Amino acid sequence: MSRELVSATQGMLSALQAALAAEQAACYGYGIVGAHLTGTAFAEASIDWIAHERSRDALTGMIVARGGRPTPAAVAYQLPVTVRGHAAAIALAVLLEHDVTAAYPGLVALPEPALRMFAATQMQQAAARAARWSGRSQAFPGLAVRG
Amino acid sequence: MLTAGTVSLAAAGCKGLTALRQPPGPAPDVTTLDRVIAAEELMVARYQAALALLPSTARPGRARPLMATVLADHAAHLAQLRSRLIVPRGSGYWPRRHHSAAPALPGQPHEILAALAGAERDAAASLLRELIALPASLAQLLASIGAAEAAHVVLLTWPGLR
Repeated sequence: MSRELVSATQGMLSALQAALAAEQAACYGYGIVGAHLTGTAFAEASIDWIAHERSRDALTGMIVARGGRPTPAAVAYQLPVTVRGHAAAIALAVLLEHDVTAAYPGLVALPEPALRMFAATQMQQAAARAARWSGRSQAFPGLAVRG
Repeated sequence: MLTAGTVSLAAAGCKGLTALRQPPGPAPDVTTLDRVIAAEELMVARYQAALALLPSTARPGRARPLMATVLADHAAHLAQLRSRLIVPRGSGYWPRRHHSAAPALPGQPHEILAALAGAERDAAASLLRELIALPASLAQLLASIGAAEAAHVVLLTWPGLR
């Protein structure tokens, strides 16, 4: 395998691993979110949790299919907020979705159309979930853009 | 005489003006970006029209501040997109003169919100197709704009908004 091809493959696997890490953290985080919610909010958190599990599994499959070894999830994660109730749980859900959105532009940058489409679709879905939890939008989800 | 002169240049084997071929057309990403800019301009015009319509409706409610916020997002998108469209002088390509007259909107606030949500949904889907063949940084920008539009759909269809 040429040096360029090895480098391109490593870059692709690195971007996939970064997205996988964000999805793994979201899966862990939504366990905490759901534990502090009830009723409709709990049902919505459960749906979002499943969505992240599916994305995690899809990314795991993509890494394996490209000859990589998926990095396992951590046993526990340091949460960005202390969650002791409903409001903090929702704040955590918003942060998780923002982190997930920001993990995908690296994959969008890759030339492979299937990966690019998958990543851009994931960005749309994560931004939509963030808007549902927060009631707000961002002009450039996942990117740091100077106005 | 001009005609005689032109002929004599050709007869002498001089390439003359025929050497100045038509410059190459714009790269595909330039035409894609131009198309995305036109769509974003239309979106801005749509929100401006919606905001102009709302005061005449019975109960604008929370729809008006939301539309103003979303319009600000689209204005930021448009500024970023325009900043990426750089056409070298002499390339022979001029970005299209866009006509951003907004399409007619329905009269009732809930109908306006539904029309805007539909436009956002279509725009997000369109960007997914447009970004496939673009250079990496432009694809990332379009992916982010599409994500913002997907979020707008959620906000515009919020049950408590109407």
